[in-house]
Amino acid sequence: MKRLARSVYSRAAGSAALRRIRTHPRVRALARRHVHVLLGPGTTWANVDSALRLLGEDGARPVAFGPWAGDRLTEVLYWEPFVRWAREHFSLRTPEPGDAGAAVFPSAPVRTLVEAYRRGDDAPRPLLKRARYAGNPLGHAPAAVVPWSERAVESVLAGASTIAVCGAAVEPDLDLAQRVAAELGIPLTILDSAGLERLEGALR
Amino acid sequence: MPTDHPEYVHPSMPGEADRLVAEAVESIHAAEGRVVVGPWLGEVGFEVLYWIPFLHWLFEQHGIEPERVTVVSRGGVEPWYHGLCDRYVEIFDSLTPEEFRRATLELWAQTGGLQKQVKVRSWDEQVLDATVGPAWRDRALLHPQLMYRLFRNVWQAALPMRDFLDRALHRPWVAPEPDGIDLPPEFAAVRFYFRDSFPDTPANRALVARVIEQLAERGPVVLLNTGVVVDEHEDAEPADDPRVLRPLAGVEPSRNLAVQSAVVARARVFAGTYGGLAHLAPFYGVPTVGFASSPQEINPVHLALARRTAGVYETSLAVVDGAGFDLLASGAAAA
Repeated sequence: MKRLARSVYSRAAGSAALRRIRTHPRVRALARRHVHVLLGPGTTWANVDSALRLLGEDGARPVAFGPWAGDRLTEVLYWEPFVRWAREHFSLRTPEPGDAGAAVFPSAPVRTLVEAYRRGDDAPRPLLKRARYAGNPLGHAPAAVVPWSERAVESVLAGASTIAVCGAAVEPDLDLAQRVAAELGIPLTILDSAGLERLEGALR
Repeated sequence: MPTDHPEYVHPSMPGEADRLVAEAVESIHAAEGRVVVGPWLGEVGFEVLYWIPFLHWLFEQHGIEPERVTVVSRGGVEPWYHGLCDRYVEIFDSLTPEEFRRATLELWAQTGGLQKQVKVRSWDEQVLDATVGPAWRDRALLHPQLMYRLFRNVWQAALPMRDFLDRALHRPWVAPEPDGIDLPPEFAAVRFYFRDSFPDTPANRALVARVIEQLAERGPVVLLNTGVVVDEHEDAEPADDPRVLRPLAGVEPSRNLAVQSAVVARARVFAGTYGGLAHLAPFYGVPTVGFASSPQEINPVHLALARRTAGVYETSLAVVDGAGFDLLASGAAAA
């Protein structure tokens, strides 16, 4: 039933008559109260966008995100940049202490879409369109060698030329980290410990 | 070129990649396996990272036998196509590097800087006429446009990398013989040139000098600079130093890439501008340090694939700036 409602709502954008109904303030308010319908199983990035747009139309109501159920690496690499983008793009108000009645945007739909990328099924572009990585505006931190973890991503975001030493890892995570680093203009090298020793041995 | 250009496989066109491949295979089978592959007129990086692994997949997956395959490329790169063809035709046996460079730059000017062989243009046909002769028209043509159409949207992040990886095979690479080139028993191979990701600045010139000095302190350095110029990149020419050898200066254009490959394949390490040779060296299992002072000028898909490829060949690729190199060279990283 929820999928049907989501489908009808989404497809209404494609018809001039239904679009008029869809954009009526009372319909928007109703949809906003049931935004979770857009974010159920089978959510697409377009559904995520629609939900955020609805929430953004009520400027009086703050929006809380999360909590993120994944590990800290995926939080830094995927979730935090998504939340930053969502807040900026849709002008969403952050809840203040004591704010009552904040809307909650759950992390599960985004996590499902992130996992499709991490399995190698989806392209990175939809993620990248919905992410803002906060680089270091003050310049570059000293070069660093860190284990492949959230520390490697944080090192890049701090502006440090970074060598990340990794063991087992999800390859698309590494691909994305290299993309983020390149776009920020920060060199990021990812090596396993044997590869690092091999390289250092060849240079010294 | 927008990513939804109809020439390129797009996520909204499921099955399009398979259809393009099937068309190419059908044309090869229709010509009874007689196929001309190329001409390859582009950069080394795309040729080694994408084109050759894709050809291995295509040929093995679809039963294309190398006996009737003719490859057209430049710089004597026949060894790169080991196992893929029976005949290699060298472009620089028929055209001079000056002619090649002039035509390439003219084409880039006409196409607004579009360097890729996204379709068969008159320049491709001129090269085929000059190298293979009119007989190429009686055979199937496996042109690099197929690769660009298939993978352009992988490079634009609109398709997952899997779309390439599922259509690539990484086979062992055979090191060419360094015929007539004297090499020390152990050495570091070096090639620096300037490009957008490593521009010609005083800082980068100083970095080149520093890297070569540090490598020379350990042992001989072999520069790969040949003097052959076929594109817009300008070599960084280090100062004379008895520890720095230049055995490739003046090598014939028709084998300039073959001898660079021969040297790289025997090196302890390759260090140089991140780009073509930094992509090539890992195929020979050689630890590689590529330099990029402006990594935002690099397509990150190439970076990620180059890292994955180095892993396939059980070696290491680091893409660093000066600070990253200092970490590696000091040994502080492993410590």
